[in-house]
Amino acid sequence: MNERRRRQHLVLLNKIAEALSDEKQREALRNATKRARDSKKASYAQLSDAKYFREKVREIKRSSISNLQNLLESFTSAATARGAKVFVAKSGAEAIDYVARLAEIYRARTIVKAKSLTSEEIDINEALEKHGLRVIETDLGERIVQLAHERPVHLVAPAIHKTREEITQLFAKDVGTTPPREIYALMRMIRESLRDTFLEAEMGLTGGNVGIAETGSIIIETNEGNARLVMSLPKVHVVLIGMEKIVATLEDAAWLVRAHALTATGQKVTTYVTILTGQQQSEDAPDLHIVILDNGRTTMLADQYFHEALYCIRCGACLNACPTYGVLGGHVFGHIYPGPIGIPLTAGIHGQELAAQISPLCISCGLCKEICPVDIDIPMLIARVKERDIKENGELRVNRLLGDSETLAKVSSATAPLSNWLLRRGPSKFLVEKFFGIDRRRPLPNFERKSFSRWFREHSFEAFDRKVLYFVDVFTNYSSPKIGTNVVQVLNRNKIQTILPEQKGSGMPFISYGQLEKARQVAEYNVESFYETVRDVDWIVTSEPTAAYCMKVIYPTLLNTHESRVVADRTIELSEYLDILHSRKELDRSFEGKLMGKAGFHISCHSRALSSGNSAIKMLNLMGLEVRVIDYGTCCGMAGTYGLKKGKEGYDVSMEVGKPLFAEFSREEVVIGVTESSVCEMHLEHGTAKKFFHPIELLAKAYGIE
Amino acid sequence: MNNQTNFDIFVKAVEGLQGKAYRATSLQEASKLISNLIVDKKVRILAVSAKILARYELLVRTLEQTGVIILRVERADSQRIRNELRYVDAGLTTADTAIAETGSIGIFTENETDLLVSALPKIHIALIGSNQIVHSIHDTVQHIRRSISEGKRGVFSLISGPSRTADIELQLILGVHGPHEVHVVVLDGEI
Repeated sequence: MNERRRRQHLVLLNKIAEALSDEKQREALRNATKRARDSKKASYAQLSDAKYFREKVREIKRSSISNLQNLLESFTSAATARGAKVFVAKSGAEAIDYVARLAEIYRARTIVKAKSLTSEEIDINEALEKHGLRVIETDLGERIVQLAHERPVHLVAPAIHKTREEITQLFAKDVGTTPPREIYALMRMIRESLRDTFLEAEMGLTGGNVGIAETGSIIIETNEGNARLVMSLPKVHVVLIGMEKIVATLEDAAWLVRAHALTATGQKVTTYVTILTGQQQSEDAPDLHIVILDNGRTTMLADQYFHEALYCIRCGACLNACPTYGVLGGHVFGHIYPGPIGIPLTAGIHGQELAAQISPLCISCGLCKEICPVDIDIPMLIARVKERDIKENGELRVNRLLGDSETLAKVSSATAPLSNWLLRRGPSKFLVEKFFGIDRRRPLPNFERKSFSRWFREHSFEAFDRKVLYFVDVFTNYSSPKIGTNVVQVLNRNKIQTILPEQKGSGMPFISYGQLEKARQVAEYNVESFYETVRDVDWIVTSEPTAAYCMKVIYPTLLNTHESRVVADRTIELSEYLDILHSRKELDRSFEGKLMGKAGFHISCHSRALSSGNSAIKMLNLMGLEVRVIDYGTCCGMAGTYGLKKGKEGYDVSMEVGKPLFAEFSREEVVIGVTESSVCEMHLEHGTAKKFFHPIELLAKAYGIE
Repeated sequence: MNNQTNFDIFVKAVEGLQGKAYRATSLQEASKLISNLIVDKKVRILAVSAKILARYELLVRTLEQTGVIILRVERADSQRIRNELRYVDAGLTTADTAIAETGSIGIFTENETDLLVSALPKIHIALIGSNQIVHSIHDTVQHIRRSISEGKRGVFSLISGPSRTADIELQLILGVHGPHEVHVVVLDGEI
């Protein structure tokens, strides 16, 4: 990594340190994001067809974005025909100029604002204040951060890091009276003081949630009711709206209005949905000016990958799912647009450099894509930002090293047991930390001299008609070959033959670090090898969720070939395969009821895109275990090799992310832990006093295989 | 879906949002209902929208009998009305449509003063006919289109319960800038 970029990176590490030491903010964020995850889940569970809903909303965004230039033209002529003034601002500066000139024309001294992220994108408040204008935010959360001179910490709830006491003090200072303690009294005070401002302001500035091309309408949504006042009371009303918000019809808009509320707050609809169409003709109606912002969006439109970021409906769900955002917040994980989608949006609007600086915060867990109501491939967009950063600035040594974790594992395995002995010794751990950047507090996995693949090739196995291809991946192969052995034995018991073609590890670390060329090479190798034998087998199975995730989700996106799609289709998590066999009564049932005890189950992130652990849980219950699923809806924090990295680069954040899970799994009622992911297992064992198992190990035990 | 079922769903949804919904079988009953509301809530000044004034003079006169001061918002004589609207305790409007699934009412206005009747005061009372309640947001789209197609202008406000925020420590507070209370009076049939 070059010197300049390295200095920027150090700034990030300092910000992480600061955020990690702010326990109050962290707790507030944790609670807020958990509640938001839960309410989104609950609201979508009430839909008669959540899958259809998501596909419908995505299709509306996809077709609008692909037709945006036409929609923009239709919108402009429809709005203009109804007396509105429409101005397309190519840049933030142009938009600010336009608004500043308007303020002059209307002799405005005070501007009231309803919440607008787009206005924050171009920093309009600061610019207008420099012109001598008083800019007052009326959305409560925005007003709080405005008074505190801070940036919002979350998209939907800008001030959740502030306590009631802090907020009371801020308003008391502003209004100049003793603050009421009681929350409703505080609200009354705020309402009264802002009411004067609403009535005296000459200009109102709002954002726009949706633009409708057929009628030139703007939809503004709030829960507080402030936008209705901002758009009705002053002499002039300016709408600032990003061009990507425009859709074709009222029907399309209705779906988005529902999606906004369901996803952002769990409501069926936002309290006030105001559809503003044209310049109202009464004598005192505010003059309507619609400023449509480009500011890099046209360039994003033309980009084969980044146009997808424009599907974003600003719901904030990805922030709520993101494990690192959840402990660090928007001041660290964001420039102006925070969180996962913030990275590609920043890249397109504010530039690659600013986006690259926050990109290391993405640990490639994939949860943002799972929760996104429009199914944007945010993880891959972020990986491309990382890739470009490497091309332009080089990379951290530890990332280069850990990206190729397969080679590391291979070497450690080949030199075992010496490697194990060395890696446990204090002095070498110290050196490993100093030169390679792997945190000395992290217990490293054991490496086996005899890898699983070696064991497999040294044995001969009975041939059966039914065959599966086994995708082993790095950890099972070099550190936990017993898992692989159990897989083969359990399949063998069920008269299923295991085929082990040439293969490399999944290559997921390459993706996490943005080393996409290397990822592509691994993907090509594995797909080619598996494609040869895929016709001869039932399924391609893997005991490692990340391997299944790579095969099914990552490889087809990277390669975009027929072969990769065929192989993806034929891949299944081992537990889901066994579950299917069991349901079809094709599984030897002698394992049922053979085990006893209380098990805590952890769902790995990559599994959430696939079986979500449901099959494994079912099998564990059948074995006779009392299974408690311990699920906070987010990551354990390990994220592959991320948690290995020294201090603020990874270990510290991973331990903070894992805290709630560590606490729950440490409880007495949980006798053993179970998870399908090798790295989750490593992390959870480290953070608790418990022993963790892979379900297949327990199944082998239940079968009496040892 | 027949209107009785829509009504039941609507009432449940409105109450779920901490709003209130009432059924009136006749205009007389509606007048009595709203009068009682005015007295109960100690409303001293009531703003009445142009549409109510145009169609329900009888209702307005019944309300006047409670001793409440009526602010007639019949023309967009904005500056004066605006100044007076500030001191109004409650606003009475019609609604053009209602959505059962979300507990929402929809009001189309063509001037900003009309909009302010439901936006400024602490209490909002809306009158709607049971025949105007549709099931979902998608069912209102055609209605909205009719109001603004062919170059027409105006503001369609979809209102779902009282105003609210959770910006302070995630605690839900009702009554921010918009009304604290929403009362929907549903008259059998059409209004």
